[in-house]
Parts: sequence; C-alpha cells; structure tokens
Amino acid sequence: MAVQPMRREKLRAVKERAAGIGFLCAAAFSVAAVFLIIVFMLIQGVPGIAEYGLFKFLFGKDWRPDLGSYGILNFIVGTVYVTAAATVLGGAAGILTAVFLGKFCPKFIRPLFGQLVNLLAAIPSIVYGLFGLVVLVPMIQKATRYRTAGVGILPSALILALMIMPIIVGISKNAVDAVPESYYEGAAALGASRAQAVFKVVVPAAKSGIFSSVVLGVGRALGETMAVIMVVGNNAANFPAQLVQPIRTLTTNIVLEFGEAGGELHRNMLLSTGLVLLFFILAVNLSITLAAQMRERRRAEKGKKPAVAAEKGGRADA
Amino acid sequence: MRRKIRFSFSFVLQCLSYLAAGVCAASLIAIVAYILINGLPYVSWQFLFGKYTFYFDGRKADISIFPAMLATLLLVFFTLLFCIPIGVAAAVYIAEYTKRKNKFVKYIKVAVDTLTGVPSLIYGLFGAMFFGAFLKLGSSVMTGALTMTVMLLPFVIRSTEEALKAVPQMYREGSYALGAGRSATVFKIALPGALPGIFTSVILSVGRIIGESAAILFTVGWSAFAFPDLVHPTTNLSGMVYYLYQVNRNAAAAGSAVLLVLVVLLNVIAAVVGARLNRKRK
Repeated sequence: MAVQPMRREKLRAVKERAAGIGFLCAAAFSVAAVFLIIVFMLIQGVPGIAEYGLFKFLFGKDWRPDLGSYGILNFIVGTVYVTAAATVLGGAAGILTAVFLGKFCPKFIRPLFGQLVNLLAAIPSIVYGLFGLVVLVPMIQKATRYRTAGVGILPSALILALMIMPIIVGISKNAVDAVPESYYEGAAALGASRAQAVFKVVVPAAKSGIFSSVVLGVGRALGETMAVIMVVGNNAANFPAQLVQPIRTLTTNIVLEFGEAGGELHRNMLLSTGLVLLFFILAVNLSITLAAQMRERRRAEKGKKPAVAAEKGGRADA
Repeated sequence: MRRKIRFSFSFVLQCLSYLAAGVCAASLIAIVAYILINGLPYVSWQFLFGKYTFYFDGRKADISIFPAMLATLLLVFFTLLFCIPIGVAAAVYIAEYTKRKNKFVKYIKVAVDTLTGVPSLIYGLFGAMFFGAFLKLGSSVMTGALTMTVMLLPFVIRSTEEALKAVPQMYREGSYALGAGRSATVFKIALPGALPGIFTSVILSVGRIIGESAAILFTVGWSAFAFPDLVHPTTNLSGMVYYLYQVNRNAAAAGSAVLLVLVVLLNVIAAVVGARLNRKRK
C-alpha cells in the first residue's frame, strides 16, 4: 500500500518532464524553421549564381531568359527606389500619425482610430493592388495627359507607403506611449508649448522605437509582391529612371516567371533572385538587432537607467 | 528670434500630424468605398455559390469563387490544426517554463523576429521547394497549409505569449500552493486565462490565410474551378482574385469586395473580443 503513492509521485514527475520536453520541442520548431529556410534558399539559389556568375547576375542589365541572360540590376535598382520612396512617404506619415494618436488625439477617438489602423494592416495586399490599379493608375495617367501608362515607381511607392503605415503607426505609437508623462510635464513646466513639448522632448525620447518601426516598414516594403505587381508595369528591359515608367522589382520578377519557368537555369536564377531578396531582408533585420545591442552596450557603459523602448510588433490598440 | 522659428517648426509638425492622421483615415475609407462600389454590383448568387463553367465556343464563362472558398476553408482548417498547437506550446515554453535570461529563449526570440520579417513570397518559394518538391507534396492544400503554418507561427507565438503574460502571477502561485504541478498549472490556470488572447490571434490568422496570395501561388496554385481536395493544385480566395484579375476585371473587383468584407468582419470580431478582454482586466 505504501508503494502506490510513491509510484504516483514518480509518474507525475515523468509526466511533468514529458510536458516540458514537448513545449521545448514546439519552441525549437521556429529556430529550426529559420535554419531550414535559410539553408534551403541557399541550396536552391547558389547553383544558379555559380553557373551564371555572381557579377554578371548582380550587375547585368539584361534579363532575357529566352537569350540566356539573367542580369537583375534593373530589378535591384527598382526595388531600392520603390522601397526608399515608400519609406520616406509612409515613414513620415506613419510617425506623424503615431504622434497624433499618442499625444494630440481626443480620448474618445483613440480606440476607434487604433482599430482603423489595424484594419489598414489587415487588408490583403491583392486588394491594395487592385485599388492602385483602379484608382491611382488612371489618376496618374490623367495627370500626365495620357502620355504614360500610369504605372511604375510612383503608384507602387504610394501603395506601399499606405501598406507600411500601419506597422509604423502601431510600433511608433507604443514607443510614444512608453515615454513617461513626466518628460512632457517637465518640458511644459519649462515653458514649452504643447507642440514643442511633444516634438522636442517626447518624440526624441521615443526615437529608438520609432527607428525600429521604420526599419520594419522597410522590410515589409522590400518584400511586398502582389500589390506591387499590379501597378509597377513589369517591364524587365527598363532601367528605372523616371517616376512613371513600367519597371520590375525583385519580387515581381519572381512571381511573374516562376510559374512558367522554362529551363532548369531559368528556375534557378529566379530562386537566386529570391536569395538576393532574402539577403536584403536579413540585412535589414540584423540592423535592428545590432542597433538594439549597441544601445544596450552604450547604456551599460554609462550605467544609465534603460530608456524607453517599444515592444516589437505591437498592435495599435495595445 | 531663433526661439520663435523653433516654436513655429514644432507647430507646423503638429499641423502635419493632424494632416497625416486625416490622410490615414481618408485612405482607409477610400479603399473600402472604392472596392465595395466597384465590386459589389458584380457579386451574385452564381458568383458566390454557383459552379465554375467554361464555355469554350464563346468567350463567356460562368465565373464562381465557390471552389476557391471551399479550398480556403480546407486551407484554414489544416493551417490552424498545425499552427495553433505548435505556436501555443512554444509560447508556453517561453512564458511559463523558462527564466527571462535563458539563452535558448533568446535564440527563439531572434528566430521569431526573423520569421516575422521574412516576406510571404520567400515563404512561398521555400514552401514550393521544400514541402512541394523535396517532400513531394506537390502544389496542394497540404503544401500550402504547412507553408502558412511556418509563416503564421511567429504571430501566434507572440500574441499567445502576450496573453499568457497578462494572466496574473497570483493565479499561478495559488495553483502551486494547492499542490498542482507545473503542467497542471499551465493547462488549468495559465492557458484558460489566456484563451481570449489566443482566440483573437486565431481570428486574425484566419484573416491572413484568406488574404495571403504571394505565399499561396506556388504552394497551392493560382486557380480553382472544381471541388478541391488535399493533393491537387487549387487556390485560396486571394489567389482566385489574382487569377480573375488576369481574365476578367469585373469578377476580380467582385472577388476583392468579398475578400474585403470577410477580412473586415474577422477584424471586427477580433476587436470586440479584444475589447472585452481589456474590460475584464480592468
């Protein structure tokens, strides 16, 4: 009789152990996934580059699969232009909207506006693309007196700015909210106006969170595909030189041709294009991590109290 | 003099922030209005629930998104089946089983952040090459569900983790004091407390599965005309809109209107649940 409770105790310990290991495995899954994605993209992307030549691939201007030339310089430049323009527009509008939400917005509108921003984030990219196609492109056509097709960097950047805004608003707003009220009060007590207190004291104190929100926006803009494909024009031959001119980006090049890729090399070169894109994205992600680490180190050196930082990936209503 | 300029600069910024918020709200309203106005007139019973029929002699076809909707349901079911258990368990490990400074947790967090940043197109390529070609699942709902599982994992982990953190520590201590073990505390105290948060993340995940297109095209397919199964190419609602955009702009407008209505509906549900959660916490 005395053995049984002992045994039950042991069984319980084993069960606890098993549960712990189960949870650990689930947690390890995401680490494994990251490794798998990177390794698999390397395995798939490197052979094409090795066969065609890295320099010719990255700096070649001709993408003619039918003639066997696979240069992606046009697409890299197109991606950089579109992303930069979208980040400037979306970043400025997003940060200002976040400041409005955090500091100037009447209390009763706040939750409503937060939901509105969430909704903007939830709209599928294909819907953004169709909106751009139906509304922006004709507007640009009209503005250029029908001398252009209305597609290219300008409509892509506008649509992308709209798409990255919710991310920037959500995280920047968390950063602004995390600044202690005493900062604002202190500035106000020194005679600053409301606008001065907000833009000279509160916003600078939230700058690390705002910075990471913008970088996350850059990542999103770099990788966005389906919205861009509908408004960018998709002409592989054009080197991006004008705001309104059909061009291609890295992402759209992959989607346009991956389904119908003819030969082995063609398919491999598209996967290599994906690898270049992944490289850009990882570099952007790394910059956030490094910036955070540097901040921490500096803080540790100075022995200061941690400044305000926002949680990554916050929703606007959080 | 200098002070005056500074003052006006801040003031200009304040005005601009009102303007930016206005633009933000106006664009949302414009998008919703344009998509609905352009699309709803073409939504019909046939379009929603009819059969997809081609007429090869003429150009006409009876377009329907019903097959795509069924495929979307399958995709949602299997993605959630894989993603929610793994994601929730991973969040439990991070929030309940480890101390804050654990090195492994740090790696998991970096991995989750990295997965968040990877664009859906890369998930699509990876899914097509790994699940589709390497594991020989082909273009199918299964490949798509596995791909979407990896893609949604960081979102589910993070929101579940937040929901778990919001459960008061006191409850756990009470459970331990009554002699419950760690796993019993997790299953009977922590997870039930986090349930509304998990539910919200499930709803938002459904929205993303319906609306995802770049990761779907090469893992599931880009068109759906017949009753879907698990092993053949089909597509989800968003992929169908992309297909329709290439063949019939009016149908694409109608499809995107349906897509938008569904996504808005799901977000409203999530918002209502979230608001109730907040009220309870107070």
